[in-house]
Amino acid sequence: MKNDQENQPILQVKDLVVEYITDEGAFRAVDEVSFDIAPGEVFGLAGESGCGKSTIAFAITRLQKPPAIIPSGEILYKGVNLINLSDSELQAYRWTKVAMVFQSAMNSLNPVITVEEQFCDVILTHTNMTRSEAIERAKQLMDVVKIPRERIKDYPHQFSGGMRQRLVIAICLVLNAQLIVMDEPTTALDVVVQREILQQIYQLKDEFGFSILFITHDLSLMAQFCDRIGIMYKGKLVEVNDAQEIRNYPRHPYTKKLWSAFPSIHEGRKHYKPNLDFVPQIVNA
Amino acid sequence: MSDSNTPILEMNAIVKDFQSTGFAKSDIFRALNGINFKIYKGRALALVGESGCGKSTCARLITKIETPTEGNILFHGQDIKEITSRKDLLNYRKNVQMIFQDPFSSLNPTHTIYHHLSRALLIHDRCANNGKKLRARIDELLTLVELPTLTADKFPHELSGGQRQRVNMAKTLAVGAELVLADEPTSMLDVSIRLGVLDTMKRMKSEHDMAFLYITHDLATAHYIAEETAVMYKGQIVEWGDTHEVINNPQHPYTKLLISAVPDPEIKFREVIEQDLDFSSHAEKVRALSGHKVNQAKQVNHNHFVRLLAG
Repeated sequence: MKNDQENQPILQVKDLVVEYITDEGAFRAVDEVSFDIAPGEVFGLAGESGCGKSTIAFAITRLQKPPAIIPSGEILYKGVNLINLSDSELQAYRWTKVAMVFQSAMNSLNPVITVEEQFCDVILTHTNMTRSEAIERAKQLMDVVKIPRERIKDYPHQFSGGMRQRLVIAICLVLNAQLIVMDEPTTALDVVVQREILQQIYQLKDEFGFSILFITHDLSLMAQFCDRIGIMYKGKLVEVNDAQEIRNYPRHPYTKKLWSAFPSIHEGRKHYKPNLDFVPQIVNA
Repeated sequence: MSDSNTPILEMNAIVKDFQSTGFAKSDIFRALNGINFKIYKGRALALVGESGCGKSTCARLITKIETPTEGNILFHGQDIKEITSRKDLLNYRKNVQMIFQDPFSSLNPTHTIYHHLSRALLIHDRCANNGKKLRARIDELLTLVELPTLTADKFPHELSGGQRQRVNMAKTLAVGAELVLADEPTSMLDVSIRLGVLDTMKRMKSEHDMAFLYITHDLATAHYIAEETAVMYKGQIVEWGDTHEVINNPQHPYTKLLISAVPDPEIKFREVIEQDLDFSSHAEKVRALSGHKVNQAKQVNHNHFVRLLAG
């Protein structure tokens, strides 16, 4: 019986429908989407802009606002349907159970308060910790994302884009959330910084065991980073499978089209033969 | 970068300093630290590097928005500093056109596509000011960039990002530009349409003999479109030459770092991590190593050079 509970998905989305009310009637942004995320799993949602992937992220964190409505479907977090929760129940659920990293993290930190205040804001709202305990906890998390503790008194603009993204991740982890929703967490960053951040997230995931819902349009990155992938097209989940299966045996024509949209630099590298006849020399440049 | 033709544009030992005059102190920031490159007809040179490495500054210098602190820029052998008269400037700007990253802000929202293209044609005297002839020429231009001719009567908000970027490409064709400076032209577009836009650029290169300076942080698209690639770091080009050589046989630690960070869908992230457990400190070391000014390079192959490391 115990074993059963351990294998239970942390999140189940069942026949979820999200609509935007417009002057011309309802626009169905998410159309009967269902998927599960297991504890410790990285589940990816891929698709182009407007396919509904970010709308799902907002629905799961229950941050969607009118004109977006959820006319039907269920979102179960450990068996509890989030759609029926009251505002105060939702407050207890956000950050402590589910946290979210938005696309442009640089804009999701409050520019006029210090990092210390941003941490305290989250911790003091959701726990009974004292202020000094909260600051100590914040400093531990700064260690985790490898930002020097003394910078806790700095303001967001004093950090680089990559550091700000790491601070947001630290805030997400501060209350031991079990599920972290990441909507294009590295899209605005260059590949080297992207890799630094994702590597850190992955190592933290191994350490703390949380699950990740990872949203991006970069299919190569997704195939590498995720355990399972769902491909979205026009509000529908057209294919869900193991990351390697999606890579090697895409079934839906749209998945195939998405793959062909990426020029790869790695394929040629595997067959490259260097020119051994040329004798290298030093030149001024 | 050897080629039998003479280059359209040549950057010679370009240095660019920016001065910030703060309160009681003034800092000099050296954005470009000795940049050399040549751009040839019908070919594309990709300038690749992270944000802040100076790649967009190169484009700003070429457009004469900024002037170099040291060095000179030659356009068909003439120093662009000497292009000052109104007529010469107009002619230079006709020949050197720019496509910006954000297709949503580079078209005037209150005018139709017809207006945008006819203005370009009329200002640069590329078409008689005659309704029928203009319409015919604009239809032709839209067809060249693979847009339906109906697009002419639409406003920018009625078009997608990819369609707008195609309108910008039609503008460069309208004026008969020789060189197009494309600064991250596809990074704001959806992945599924990026390749189509790049294919159109390829055709402009091959069928209209246009030259491109393709500025990006994405090695994969650089690889797709450019014959030559120059990798920039902190205002210096650290490695340059045939794109194929630079990507498949990288020599500089910064190029190697950049390539190793491009996701390879064939390798799972767990294996990637195991190969380099402390990627961050590795990256930090490479950055520290690559930032110094060095004047010597090693020629690795006929057209493949790598800057030596300091010390």
